[in-house]
Amino acid sequence: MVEPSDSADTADRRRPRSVYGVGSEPDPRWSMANERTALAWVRTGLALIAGGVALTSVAALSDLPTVLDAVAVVSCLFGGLTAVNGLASWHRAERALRLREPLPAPTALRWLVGFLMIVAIGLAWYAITQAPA
Amino acid sequence: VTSADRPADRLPDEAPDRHPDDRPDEPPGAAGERTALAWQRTALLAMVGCFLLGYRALILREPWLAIGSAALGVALAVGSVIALPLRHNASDAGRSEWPLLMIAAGSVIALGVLGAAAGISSLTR
Repeated sequence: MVEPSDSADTADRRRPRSVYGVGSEPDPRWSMANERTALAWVRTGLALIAGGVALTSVAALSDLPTVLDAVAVVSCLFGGLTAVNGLASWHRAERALRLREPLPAPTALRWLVGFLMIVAIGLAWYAITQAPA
Repeated sequence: VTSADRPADRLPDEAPDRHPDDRPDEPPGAAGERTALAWQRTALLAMVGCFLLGYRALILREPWLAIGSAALGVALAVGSVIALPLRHNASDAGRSEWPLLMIAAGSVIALGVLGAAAGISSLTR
């Protein structure tokens, strides 16, 4: 059981307490690096959503099959999940920093890479098979 | 054995059990500026996403999607102007990233749901 740190006194009202109520204050540089990593996940989610919106727009403008709209829907929803993961990974990493524990492995990275690979291969296959002879 | 393990190469005030880079009293340098820029990039990208989605919603003639995108974009713009300059002062040791991170992630989730709704609207036409 980890006791609250000396710095987490009565004046420290930061939330969530599951993070700021444990361990000791880390070097601010590591905290800010963790924050930037979370923001990078959020931006990745935004890029997936923007890609989905662009895909459905191009599909509508060029009268392409509706399967591209389905890919766009999945891309937008996956973008939202990526942002949630950014939040969760910040929580885990900040807690580990405060407890002086090893940082957790970025497990969501393999899901993101897997998703991008599937979409890339699918769109490449679609482009090759639908190309005019 | 690395050079940092040799007592002669160690700084005088450095404890033997402390990581060489772990110096809490050292000023954070440009880290605060980099973090502020990361926030601004994220807010800017989110607003561009709102614009793209709003434009798409207008083409689809889906007024609720367009209103939702515009409202989210305006909220992000106003929130960025008000909240971001107040943050990332290097001397502010008691700050918490959680509330703004929650808002950023929530905005992206909302944008993702609106984008998915636009895709479904295209699918059903």
